[in-house]
Amino acid sequence: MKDKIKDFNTAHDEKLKGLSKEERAKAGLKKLAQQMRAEKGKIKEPEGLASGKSDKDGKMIIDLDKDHDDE
Amino acid sequence: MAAYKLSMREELERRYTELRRQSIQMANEALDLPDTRLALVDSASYTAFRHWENHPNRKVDWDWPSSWISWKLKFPKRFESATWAGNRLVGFAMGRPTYHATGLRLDYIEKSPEAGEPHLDLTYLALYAYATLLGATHVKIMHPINSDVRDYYEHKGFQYDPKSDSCIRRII
Repeated sequence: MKDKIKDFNTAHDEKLKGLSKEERAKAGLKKLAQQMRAEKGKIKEPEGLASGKSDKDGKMIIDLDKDHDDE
Repeated sequence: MAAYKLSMREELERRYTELRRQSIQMANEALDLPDTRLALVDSASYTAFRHWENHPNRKVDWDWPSSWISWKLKFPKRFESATWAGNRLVGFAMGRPTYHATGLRLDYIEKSPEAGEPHLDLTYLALYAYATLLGATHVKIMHPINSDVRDYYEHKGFQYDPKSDSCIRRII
């Protein structure tokens, strides 16, 4: 079953590669929204979900360094 | 020269604001949930933020409105999103592309301690749309604040990278 899902996902991703950026975004969003509905309530979001860097006073840091972690 | 730089910045701001609007619109169309929506950050979100800014259950002490001013000024290609449930602000998110825009970073995200709606799932729709329109191959959430949050991202298909302290998910 897992392999079948994997095959489906691979085929879906391959299909998306041939589309324009807008078409790809729409198709990908449709799939994500379906997944979201299917998984609704299965995993609870942690209380106080947050991510980001704080300074020693707990304030936001506006990181001006360029991120060269490209592919 | 200064005038040229200013006009270049204005042109970037205009061009990427259009992409941001487009990505939010596409995410809302896919979302199709009554009463829940994504939006760009505006003065209404700042006002709504003041309702939970001093909530005792907040895990961080970030002043979104003041940080936003610097963020907007420094990063015309930024990602931004506010999640709403009716007239309640569920949370904020902001990020920026990597240098060559093969990746889109989510530098800050926070959910209101009063909100029950899933903030990450909703934000991810807008993030995915913007990343795809930019031509990025991956998105990454920077610096999860604790292991519960990090585990949650991993459940959602992200992989933790200890080197950059971020959770990465390929979109192509």
